[in-house]
Amino acid sequence: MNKRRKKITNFSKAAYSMMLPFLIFFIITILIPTIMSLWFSFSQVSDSIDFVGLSNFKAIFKDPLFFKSYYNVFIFMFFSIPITVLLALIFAVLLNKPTIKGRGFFRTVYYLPAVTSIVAVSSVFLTFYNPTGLFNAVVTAFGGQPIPWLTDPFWARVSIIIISIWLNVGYYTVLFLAGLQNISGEIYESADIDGANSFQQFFKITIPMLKPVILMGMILSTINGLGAFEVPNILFKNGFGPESSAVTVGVNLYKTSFEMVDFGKASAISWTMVIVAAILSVIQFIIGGKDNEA
Amino acid sequence: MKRKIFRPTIIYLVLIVGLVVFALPYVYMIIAATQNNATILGEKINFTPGPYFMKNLKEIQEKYNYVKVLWNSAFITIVGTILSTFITTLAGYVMAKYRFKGSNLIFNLVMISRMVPGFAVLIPTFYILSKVGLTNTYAGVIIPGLASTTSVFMMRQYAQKFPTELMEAARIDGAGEWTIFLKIAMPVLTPSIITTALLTFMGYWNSYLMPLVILSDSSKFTIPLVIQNMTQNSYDPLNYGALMAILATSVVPVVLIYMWLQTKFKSNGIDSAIK
Repeated sequence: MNKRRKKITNFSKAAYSMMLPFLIFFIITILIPTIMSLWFSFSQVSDSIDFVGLSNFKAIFKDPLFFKSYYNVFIFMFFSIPITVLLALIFAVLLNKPTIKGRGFFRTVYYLPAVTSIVAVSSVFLTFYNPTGLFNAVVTAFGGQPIPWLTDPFWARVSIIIISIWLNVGYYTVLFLAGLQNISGEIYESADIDGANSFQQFFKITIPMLKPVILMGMILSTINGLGAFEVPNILFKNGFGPESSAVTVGVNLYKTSFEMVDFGKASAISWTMVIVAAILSVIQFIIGGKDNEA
Repeated sequence: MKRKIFRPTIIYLVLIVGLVVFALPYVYMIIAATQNNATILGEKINFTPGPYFMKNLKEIQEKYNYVKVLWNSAFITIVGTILSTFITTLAGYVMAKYRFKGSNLIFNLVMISRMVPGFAVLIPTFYILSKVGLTNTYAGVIIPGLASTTSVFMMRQYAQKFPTELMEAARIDGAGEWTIFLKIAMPVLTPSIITTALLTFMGYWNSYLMPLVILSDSSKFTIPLVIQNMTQNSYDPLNYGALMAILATSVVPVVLIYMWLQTKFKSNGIDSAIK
């Protein structure tokens, strides 16, 4: 008994020592900054950090750009998330068919945007969106009028939505594929016997079974979408776009923290993001849960 | 009968359309890198390679010292990936295989911290780094990415599949815990470690926000910073061919290496993340 006890403490010692390098960096670069960020959001940060109560939050709620940035992000998410999820579902279901040849190759190519620099992707699309770039060459080849991609507020938003769909579909395809592989083939076989066609199987089996994964994907998209910064910052000088139509919460945060150097106000904005992301996650869970019971 | 012949054709058609859409920007990077603005911005769609590749390369070397930029990116990425993979592999392995006082607390803190947006962490991190004089250094870009909670989570999932019996057998033979990790667990977990390292590698290579706020001296700039400088430069008109030459030489090779290793090790971490 005594010997066993000693052994366990020896293991713990080794475990602590193996954990230590990660723990040090986790505490210095994640845990302490997170706590400091909360503290900053109630402070005026310069050479000293002075507590100012709620004045940072009052300042951001008076700032029209703050609301504009949330409004823009919600428009982007409202259109890009459903399209992304739908396309990814289609690709995932098709790639899950064992009879299809080259599934691994398709899957790998679809996934490439997820590991490619967003800055690089945005700059390729910047070239496509040029008034006489590839996209307008295609449009005019079909007899259409050139589209003012980056200069008109409406089309500027469309441009961003197109990029974010292109960036994310592959990631969700692979995510959903992994989920589909957890669904046993027997369910489909018995559905076949009962005479359910492909569409019925898709809506009655695939979607309900994948719901947790879809939900997880949508929550991830929401959190990432709020902080999106690269795409507008490469497409538009200063990241604002025509009539500030491209400003995201991330762009606003970058301007506030590193150009206006107001760390207090910027931290306050970043904590509104935490709260909004939490609320949206809860809403998505409630909606998802309800459907499950029905 | 007709339905059976018809359907696979449609499936392949949809999949190939997807393939073209996802591969097009990469192919375009390579082709446009050999063209000049007159062709890239011409009225006609032109996918034939032009003669301007060397000229475009020369321009980015002269204007941005591109070789140095590649070196900066490579140094930060390689050092960061090795350090981060080592510490997160250790941590993931410990979380999967050991129970000790505070182990649950650590796991919960790691999981909760994943909910905090990057920007919230970035601002105080920048503040701390500037107080200790690490702004405008490679270390200032590398350190904030080391404690990757995604890598820890992935390695924990993988290490859970590592058989505990192997550890017990080694203990009976008198092996210490570190020896077990270095001599038994690491070799067994190598494919998983490479998968994790690959994602960390891409993370550092593509990193934009951290170098953007940390690096101010243009001789230390990484690839994404040079791309942003080109696209945001209002002094001279953007040479799209030169921009594409950067992408063709910095994005395409890395993506190809990724594809090769990915097919070799057949997992990208997502599978394990949701199971």
